[in-house]
Amino acid sequence: MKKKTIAITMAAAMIAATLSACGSNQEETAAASTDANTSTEASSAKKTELNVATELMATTNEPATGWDSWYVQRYGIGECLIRNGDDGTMQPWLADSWSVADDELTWTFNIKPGVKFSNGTDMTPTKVVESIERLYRLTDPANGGEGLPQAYMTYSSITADDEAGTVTIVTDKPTPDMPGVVAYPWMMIVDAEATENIDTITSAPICTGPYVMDSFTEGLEIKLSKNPYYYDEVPFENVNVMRIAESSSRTMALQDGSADLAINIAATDRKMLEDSGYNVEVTAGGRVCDTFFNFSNPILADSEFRHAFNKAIDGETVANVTTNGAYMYGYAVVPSSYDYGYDELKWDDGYDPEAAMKILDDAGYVDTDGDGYRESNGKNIELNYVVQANRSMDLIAQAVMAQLDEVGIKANIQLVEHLNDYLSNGNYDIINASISTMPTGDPGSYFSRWRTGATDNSCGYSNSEFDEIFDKMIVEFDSVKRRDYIIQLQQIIIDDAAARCNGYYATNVCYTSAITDVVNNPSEYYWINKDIKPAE
Amino acid sequence: MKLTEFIRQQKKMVIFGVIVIIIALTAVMAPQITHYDPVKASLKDALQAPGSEHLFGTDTLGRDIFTRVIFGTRVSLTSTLLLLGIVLVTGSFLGIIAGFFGGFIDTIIMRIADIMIAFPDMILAIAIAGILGPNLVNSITAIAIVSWPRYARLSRSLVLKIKNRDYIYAAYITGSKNGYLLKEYFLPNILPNLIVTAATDVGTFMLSLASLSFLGFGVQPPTPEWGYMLSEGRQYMQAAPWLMIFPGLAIFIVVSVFNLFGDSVRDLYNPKSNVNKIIK
Amino acid sequence: MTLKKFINRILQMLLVLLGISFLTFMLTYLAPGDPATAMFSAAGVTPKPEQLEAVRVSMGLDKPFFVQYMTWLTNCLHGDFGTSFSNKNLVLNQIMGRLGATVKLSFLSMGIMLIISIPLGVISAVKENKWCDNLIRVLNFMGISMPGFWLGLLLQYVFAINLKLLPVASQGMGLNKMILPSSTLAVAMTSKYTRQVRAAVLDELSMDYVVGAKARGLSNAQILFLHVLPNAMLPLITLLGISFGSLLGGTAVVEMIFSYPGLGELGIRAVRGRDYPLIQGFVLWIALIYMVINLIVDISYSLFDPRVREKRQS
Repeated sequence: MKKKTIAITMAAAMIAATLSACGSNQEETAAASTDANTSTEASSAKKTELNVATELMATTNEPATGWDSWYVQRYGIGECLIRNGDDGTMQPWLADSWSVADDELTWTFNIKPGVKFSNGTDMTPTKVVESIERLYRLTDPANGGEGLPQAYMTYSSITADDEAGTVTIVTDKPTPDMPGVVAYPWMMIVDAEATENIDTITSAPICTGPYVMDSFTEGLEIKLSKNPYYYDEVPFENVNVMRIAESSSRTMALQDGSADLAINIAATDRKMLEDSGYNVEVTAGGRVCDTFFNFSNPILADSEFRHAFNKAIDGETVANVTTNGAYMYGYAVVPSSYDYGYDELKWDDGYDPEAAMKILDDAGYVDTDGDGYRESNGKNIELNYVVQANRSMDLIAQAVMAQLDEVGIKANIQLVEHLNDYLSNGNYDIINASISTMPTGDPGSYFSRWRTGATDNSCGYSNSEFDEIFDKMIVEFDSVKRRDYIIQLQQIIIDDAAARCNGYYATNVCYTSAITDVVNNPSEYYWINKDIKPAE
Repeated sequence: MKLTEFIRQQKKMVIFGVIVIIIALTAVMAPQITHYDPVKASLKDALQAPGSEHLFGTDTLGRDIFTRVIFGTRVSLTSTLLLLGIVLVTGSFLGIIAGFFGGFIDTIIMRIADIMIAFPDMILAIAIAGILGPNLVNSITAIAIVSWPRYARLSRSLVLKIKNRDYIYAAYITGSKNGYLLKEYFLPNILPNLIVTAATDVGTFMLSLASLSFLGFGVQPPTPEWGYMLSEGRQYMQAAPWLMIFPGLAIFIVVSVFNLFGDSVRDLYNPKSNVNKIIK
Repeated sequence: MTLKKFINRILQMLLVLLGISFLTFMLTYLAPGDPATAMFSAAGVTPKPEQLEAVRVSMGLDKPFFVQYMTWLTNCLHGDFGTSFSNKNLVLNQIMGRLGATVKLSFLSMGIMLIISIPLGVISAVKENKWCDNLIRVLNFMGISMPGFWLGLLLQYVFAINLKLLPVASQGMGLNKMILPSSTLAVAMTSKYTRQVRAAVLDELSMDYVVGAKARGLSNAQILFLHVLPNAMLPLITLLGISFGSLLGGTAVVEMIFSYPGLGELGIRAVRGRDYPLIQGFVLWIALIYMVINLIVDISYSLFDPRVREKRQS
């Protein structure tokens, strides 16, 4: 009785305040639903400006730096020879067509005629070659570059034929996903010569896209305007991209009219936006949240332990309830929405905490000192769980941690700003990483993470059977065989519990009725493009 | 003075004192007040609105917000008291040394203090906490580093005030040791004043710690801490406003109480409040 | 302020700045790991050991601490604050790009603060212990105890979502976009300052000359506006300079909540990303702004009030 009295006294004031706040909230949300359309209609008469709210923004505009090219392309500044279609196929863009010779090495691209850079210069095949050479020069590990494009493809020669309008690339080894490699954002075509004189940190390179960059406030705002030399119609005079880090604030930006289009709104707000007349497009794209185990930790190197780990976690509840549908649950490392045999895979590590505890008991991970946590050889198990607070990955980590706790495994969460140095130093026991599995329109290169000795294999996994299949897959042109290899690789990861997949990220775009033709491309490479138009 | 008389005269202080004690008891008896676990997740109960089952609703991991707010009192009070202790001890120690010995030591300590004071303290605290790495101990360290100079200044000025009194001089020439002098004459004279200042600072320290946690430079999940709960709840501002309202309200109420209590303590000690003391 | 005093003041300021620069530089050494590793991680790059070594040498990390500090300081004095780890942009450019926004926000908040707190403080003092004094004091207490970050979120919730009056994010920095952040900042300051105004006016009201003026038959209003207020304002100017410090400290949180393109937002991101040169630049520049403001306050103080000079000399 006594504790109740204290609780009630403490709470009384707080409740009073909330009741009023909550009460008003519901009315206002209802009012907002009618607002969404009326407020935008007034301005749609002559809409020349597009306002976009996004979570992330690159720190530079140099396509050759890290993954910054994604953003330059997302802003509608740069374009590649090939584009990832909305249906996942490869579509012509600055190249009309392409083909590979029988040697499986020589690729020919027919360059689209009549394209000009935003400075008025013609985009000739020579310019295309210069652009690709620029990228490979700047990223060359021999020059101190990061070598990221080189991991996907290296070439022995690249030549232009301005008469025929073709570019020919001879690759060093068979590269079956070459169209996807060429469609990767850093392969965007820039006027290399004109870009020499540009500080690509604070201004964008000269490209061919519908918009050009007017100003760049790092991490906050980018102002774009129409590219006068664009080969097609450009719907808006000006585009403003605002970085609003919090999802809730992006929702508010849509509601208060300061944004027409918002990238990735949390699931909890999407429902409300939809009910208030906003357009919401959700796609389970190629992005996954994987949990990697550090194999240099002997406990995690034990496959029994990893299987128990998997069984301890109710993945479906984590995805559906904890992340509120930000992720679609799936156990395979390649998203189930892609045709890579999800249904054929055999998965035995479904949620079963009893089984998990039994495995741990049998494997000798038991709690002997009675603190509620298991030990390994008398030493407390305490896993360092490194996670970044974006795309709900911190929520997943907290839920995973709570469930590990249930089976007696102690994990401590460490929230970090940059994952990369943790991945490279191996300074983690478990780590959540958000990975795009279809970087080149195909999950082949994604599997190098588990290939022995690969540069992006940070977890230290090594399995000769896996390596053998991977090496065959990566040079396989036959799509049926390639798919088959990829299914085998997935099954090995499942059987070995080499990593845990937490689900597939539901990428989404939300927009007001003031704009139309917004497509949520599953590749996440194109936010702003020539197709987004003011509504009629 | 009789107790009843004291209570009648210091009505304000007694009332706030009682509330402070209630808050402290809340922290101590947290497990008795609520039967939920503040850390243990119950995934299926996520984001429930306030109701009879969960007074303040639940968060994304299905944890009871009321429980987390109550346990947050523990985190907040202990870290604030720890911070206060560190600042009080180091600040006054350095200040007393500076005032007592004077000369070179005085110059060094007070120049450093001047530099720290001539600076927006929150900015430096953010930089220090962020660089040391986000956790509770580091955020306490960061605020301690920027806060000690005020206590050093105060205690130094108090030391100087009594240093030249005749009785000190008398004790000195009769051969009293420095340590003895400090213990017997200086500390008893200085301590009350320092403690009163500390009492008025509790609220400010609490707010600073919560700010750092809100920014992500303080506690790490799943510790129930109000500032951190607010930054988590922020994501659900519209869908689940209770996540943002209750932790904020808790900070607001507790800080208010400590501010009012601190003020009444100061009024008791020094009825005519000094303008300069209110500033920081 | 005499010339000699002025020069003294400047010298003092430089000394403090030197101390702060040392402190700022030291920050880098507090961190776990070394700046070279931090540089790669801030840029999102996984370095190879030989790359790391090369960068260590190029950053001068192999030299003794003091040499490193002197090199850094000399560069700073030449306006070279280094380049940001995350994007290799010049720190000075980034800071200059944000400086104006923060100064604008601070002054707007200060304006709001003055407009509200002076009348309230005066009323509170004149009506000491009456109901409106008590009400104002209660409001002050609430304002002081209100966490700025919570207030910011509440204001967003009420004004931007429910009432749809003002935008939630501040990109573009139009006046309507500055109202919410500057009001958030102003609340705590207003509460503190109102108390100071009240105390200062009360001090003046208890002076002998007030009694004298009353005896000479001056009306209460005359006494208040012609004598008490002008005298009370002077100490308040000094307090204004000090308030500015807390204001700058508050900008960081508020700018983050409202995505306001100021120094604070830049600084918080720099700290989160362990972008050392940017953190150093940020801390140094905030110190500089604060000191310049206080210098201006000091100068205006002595310009306005001849008594100060006399007092100081006596």
